[in-house]
Amino acid sequence: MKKQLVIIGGGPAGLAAAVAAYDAGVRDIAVIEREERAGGILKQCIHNGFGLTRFKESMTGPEYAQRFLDEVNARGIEIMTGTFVTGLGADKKVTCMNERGVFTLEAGAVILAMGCRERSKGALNIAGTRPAGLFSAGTAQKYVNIYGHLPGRRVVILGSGDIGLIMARRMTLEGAKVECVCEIMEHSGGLRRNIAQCLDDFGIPLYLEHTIVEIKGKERVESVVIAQVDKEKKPILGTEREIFCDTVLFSVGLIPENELTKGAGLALDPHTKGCFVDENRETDIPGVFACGNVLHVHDLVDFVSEEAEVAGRAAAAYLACGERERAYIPTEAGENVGYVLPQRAGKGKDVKLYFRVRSAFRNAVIRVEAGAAVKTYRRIAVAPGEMENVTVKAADLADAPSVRVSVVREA
Amino acid sequence: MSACSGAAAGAQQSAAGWRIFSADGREVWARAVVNCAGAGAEQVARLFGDAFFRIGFRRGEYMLFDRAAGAHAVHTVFSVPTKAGKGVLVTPTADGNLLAGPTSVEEETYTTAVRRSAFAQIAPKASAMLKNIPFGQVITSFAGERAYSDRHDFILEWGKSGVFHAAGIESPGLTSSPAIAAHIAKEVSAALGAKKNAGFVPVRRSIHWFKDLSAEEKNAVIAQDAAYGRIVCRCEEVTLGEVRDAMRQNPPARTLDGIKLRTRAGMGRCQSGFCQPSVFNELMREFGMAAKEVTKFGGKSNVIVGGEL
Repeated sequence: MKKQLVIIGGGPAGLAAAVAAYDAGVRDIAVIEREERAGGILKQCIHNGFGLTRFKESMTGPEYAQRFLDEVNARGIEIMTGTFVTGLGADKKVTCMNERGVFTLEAGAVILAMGCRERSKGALNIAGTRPAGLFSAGTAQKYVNIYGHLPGRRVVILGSGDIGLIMARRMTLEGAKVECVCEIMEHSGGLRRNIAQCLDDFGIPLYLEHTIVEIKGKERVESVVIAQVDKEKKPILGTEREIFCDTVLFSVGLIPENELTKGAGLALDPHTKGCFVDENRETDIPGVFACGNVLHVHDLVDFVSEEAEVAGRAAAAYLACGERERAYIPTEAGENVGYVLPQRAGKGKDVKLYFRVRSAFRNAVIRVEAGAAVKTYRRIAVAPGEMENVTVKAADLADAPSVRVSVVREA
Repeated sequence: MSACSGAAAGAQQSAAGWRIFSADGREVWARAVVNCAGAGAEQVARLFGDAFFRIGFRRGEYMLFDRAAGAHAVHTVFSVPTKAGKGVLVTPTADGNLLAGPTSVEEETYTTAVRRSAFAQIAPKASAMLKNIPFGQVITSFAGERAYSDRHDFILEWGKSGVFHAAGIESPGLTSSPAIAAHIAKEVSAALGAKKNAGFVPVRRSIHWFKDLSAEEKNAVIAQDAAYGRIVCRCEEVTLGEVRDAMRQNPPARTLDGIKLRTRAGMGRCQSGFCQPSVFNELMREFGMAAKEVTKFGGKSNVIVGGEL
């Protein structure tokens, strides 16, 4: 079966991309969603704070998803739910499976919007036993918010990513006692507002530079041993402390889910764990685009929607005009910057660069160097958990060999 | 018949044979008893009054890698064995993962906890045999106990009680097991005067088989049962049909780990983060369990202990 545009994933990225592509003229669109309902992880994020940047109002996750779902439905765009993509070829053939069988869609263009997954406890090499009661924070969130089961009553959380912080508050509100949140880094990976609203407001201690070194309990978790870590993140002897608990939640990072991407032969950026893209979010395969958390992990869904719209419009332009020869300049992460996205920017137009800082500090200066042109921008505070962006003017990019973003402390 | 999830707690002999009972009150009657309890073989032998061997434990810890790292080793690599065994090896697994380990720790008591020092012991030994092992792609680590006896190796004999013991089987135990089984069958059937059951089917099919079918074969299966068209575990591509099959076999898989071990649902790179709630719901539906009754591996390994909202 032929399809002009196949969008893999019906979460916030896929839905926004579909609407944008439709509005740019594409009519033959299929959004492939593996779950029974579109909306992605937003469906289980019942807390508010979504949409503040984009809509200037605070919505819950399901409300935010519904807003886009309504737009998709108003346009009559097809969403194939309960459908799993088993393979993607460099020739843009998408192999799918659902209750009706296995079938292949021959796509004119593909948008990758598969999202990300949580890094699991198993990846951390924690000593001890493997009893019941160990959950990824998002899995616990699904049990609580979708199915109404409270995993446990006495909780330790490892990792201060946003899901872990949100779940600290959620478990507390449902009557569990959250003993502490341990974070191996010297700063939290979560939004500052989440630390204030989810931990501080409930008196939940955050132990920075601490980790779990051992899990105890034969059938159900009985306790964990936590310890302070040194600069190399190695546990410091003598700082161990046993904390009794029946549940441990892990919020130790998100990994873009790029197995299909790799299957198509696309290389991944070791820093973003997603594809290399240009400012249109077009990958190394012409006509294949990527957006949302499969491209790089976002902290705010508002930026996922924005990025997906870029990809949706670009896919429509590709379908209308085909492949075009273009001149690019590479982007580079300078001092104190983890990565810059997109990894290459087309010449001739303004480009919005997204980036993450490596450490948190106040009075920051963002420095953008494009050849001889140097621009600086002030920020009151920056943190690794909060993605930053700046827009570079086309004129500044015209003759530059590359564009480099650094963040330094104000002198 | 089989009686799962129950440790033998006692045994009584009478003219009719052995009455074996578990701590929770279940019992089975048997004319012949074979002790193949592995690490528990000494304990089980003592239940029947036999005490002619001791069992000790050698804990072995392993690190398992993502299937994406599976091609890092094309065959099993290990160094020259010592008295303690083969030592650390690096190998691709039958399912396409990469595996490094095991360590070897002598001990008196049985435990499957991984020691803090395990990782620092495995990594350099594995790296000495194979370069650039992607330690960043470990998906889980675990430990098991290898049982060994004070009689050195391969106890395959009748005890004074009349129970047949297969105990203290050391390397290559797995390789030897089909031959050991044939030997036990011969001994026990001779003792009982039993005849071969012509209707016995010795082969059980694997439950995780759908993924590797061709598209045509998949379509034929899905046309029969639409549950095979629904992926439950995205990492290992396990279908709802396979999960249900595992729960409907004899004996049925009634726990999260039971389903995992048969179907691989939850064994992949996300380590059950996405599929666990789906498998959990299937267990509730299939067996009419309440949420608080679903366990990871039986006993008190309940998944939900905080109550309902």
